[in-house]
Amino acid sequence: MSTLLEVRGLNVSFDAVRVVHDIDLTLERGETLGIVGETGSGKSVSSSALMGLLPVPPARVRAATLSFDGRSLLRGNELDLRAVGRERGRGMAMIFQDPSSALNPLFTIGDVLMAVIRRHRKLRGTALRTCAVELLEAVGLPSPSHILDSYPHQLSGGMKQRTAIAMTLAAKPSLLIADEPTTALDATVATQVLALLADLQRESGVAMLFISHDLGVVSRVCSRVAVMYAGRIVEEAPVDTLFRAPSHPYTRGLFAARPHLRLPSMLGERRVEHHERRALLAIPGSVPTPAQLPAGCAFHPRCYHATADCNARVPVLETLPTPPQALTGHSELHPARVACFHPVLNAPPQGD
Amino acid sequence: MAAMPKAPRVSAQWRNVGRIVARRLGLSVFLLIGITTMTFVLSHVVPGDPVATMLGDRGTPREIARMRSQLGLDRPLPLQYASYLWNLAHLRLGTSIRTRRPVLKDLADYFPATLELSTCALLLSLALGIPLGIASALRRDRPLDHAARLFSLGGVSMPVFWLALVLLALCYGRWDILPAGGRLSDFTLPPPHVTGLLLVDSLLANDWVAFRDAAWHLIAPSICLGYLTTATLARQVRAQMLEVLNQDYIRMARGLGLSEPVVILKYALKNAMLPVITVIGLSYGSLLSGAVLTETIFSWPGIGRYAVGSSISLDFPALMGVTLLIAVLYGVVNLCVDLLYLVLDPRIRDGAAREIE
Repeated sequence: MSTLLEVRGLNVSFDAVRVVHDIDLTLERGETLGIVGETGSGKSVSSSALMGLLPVPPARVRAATLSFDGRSLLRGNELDLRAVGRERGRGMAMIFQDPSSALNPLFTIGDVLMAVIRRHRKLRGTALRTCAVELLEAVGLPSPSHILDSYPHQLSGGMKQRTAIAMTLAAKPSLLIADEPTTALDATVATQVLALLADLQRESGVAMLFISHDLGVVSRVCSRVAVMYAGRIVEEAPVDTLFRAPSHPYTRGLFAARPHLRLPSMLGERRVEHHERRALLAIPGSVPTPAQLPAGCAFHPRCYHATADCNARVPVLETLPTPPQALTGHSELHPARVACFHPVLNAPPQGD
Repeated sequence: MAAMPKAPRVSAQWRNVGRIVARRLGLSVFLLIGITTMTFVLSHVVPGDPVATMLGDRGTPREIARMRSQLGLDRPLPLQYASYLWNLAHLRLGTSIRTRRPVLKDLADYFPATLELSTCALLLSLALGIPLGIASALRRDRPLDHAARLFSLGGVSMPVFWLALVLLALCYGRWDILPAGGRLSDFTLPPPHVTGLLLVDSLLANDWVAFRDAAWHLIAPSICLGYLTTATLARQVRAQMLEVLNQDYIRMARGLGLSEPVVILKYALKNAMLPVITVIGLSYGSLLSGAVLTETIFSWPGIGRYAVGSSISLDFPALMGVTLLIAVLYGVVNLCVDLLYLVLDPRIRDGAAREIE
């Protein structure tokens, strides 16, 4: 495998307010990386920034390194919109959260889909239409030729998201950025679309950056997960490691806040006895606004493990000294990288 | 699995379109009835006796009475109204008191000049306002945008008569590059009358001298009349474009690697123009009816000047004719706008979005 996307020190600010702080991301070809975090953690902003889709004033995107497929997307240390523009579509494509707003209401599905095919596959005439029909079939849509002549408002939410996926596939991207692609859909439809994305990823070997606030969804599609909080990556680990031994207090909080997946004891031994087993735990407080970040570790006001040094310095992302298999008894777990002065190292109880 | 698409069948769609058009036409009928009643009432309650004005100092009371009964002005109002409607239905608009010609003939003579001028002004503002609005939105808050907004501010706030006088003073008075007024120079032979639109008639007659002369005469009044509309359009297009460029479907189109001209001029512009079409329709309506000042200053023999002349001499049949014509024009333009929505917006075609009221 070779590196497809390399990001070092990505910063995004709106006017003078920084919303993404020094993010590092590396994505191999064909790899799937999930980015998880609450609303406002900067996950969608980072991905839009990579695609060059933020309105450039007021947004400002800077990085130390930003290379895609071996080509730098920077001019100086600013994002080069021209260079990103060249990568869009065939290089990287994006699926949006709300398919109802992501499809142009005044044009038929076929109009846009075939425009993408014409641009990236240089097909004309019947071959063009055949290709469009095949793409719609590939995303599991019934009567594709009928859908080609339909307008977005004539389709259901799930069908709209499938056509949006077909449009991105038409460009044959090597990186697919999916920004909460199932959040706006009904639960059953979301499951189908998720399965479709996982299948397509396996078949085509496209690398994927999957953004979600839902750990469960991410675990079904991704091999590696980065957890974001207040514009920083606070923990990054292979999915197995993250699920067996989440180390950042925030990550543990996310697991505890998920219904029926982990026990409340995951928050740490100090809290165990105060809670009913299987109780749903919310993380106290809320995500700080980017303009008023707490000093030091941004999570410390909400953290049960916080000590005095947490509000003095910002912790950096470091590989954990203790190999996780020592904690969980599982072999072959790769260590996580955590940005925390007091990572939670006790083994969470196994078996829900 | 997803069900069959909910797309209405083609026949159902056409039935829907037919229903909307029929309803829209039905509304126009009511509009017409309302307008005719209004014009009739207004012109018959204003003080002033048209017959006295007509006969002037020479009118003895007897002559005035004779004239009144000749014109039917001595009959009770409901009867006058009924016969007015009856004549209207047969396209008899009455005889102008001032020109002593059938009003319909007068309108046919004066209206083409206004139509030609207003259409040129509208085309000018479309050609300038839309690109200006797009460029302004794309270069938001940069020098070009500021310049365009200043230009628009001028257009919305500068009085037409002042702009007209400045244009005349400079282009005719100082540099002598444009004519002082009128539709043709004195020494140019008008082309044979077909439509009354000089540009069209001269083209039909293959008379390039007349065409050039007519176009030359149209420049200053078109600029004058079209500036406000250009400014309004530029502002509207800019605002709509900024809104549309922020939409997910535009970010999606860009994210799919479609070229910027295609994204802007095809996918964004169509969405942005949707609300602007209404503005264009209204502007055209007001251009057709509101050219009075421009026509007066450029001695343009159009409907605006005819209306002014008629109101000075209390020429009720003529005034009613003009009012009716303008109302009908507004109706027609609005109808066209509504039909255009049916063509452009599939949601309205399907009855999925709010219907046009």
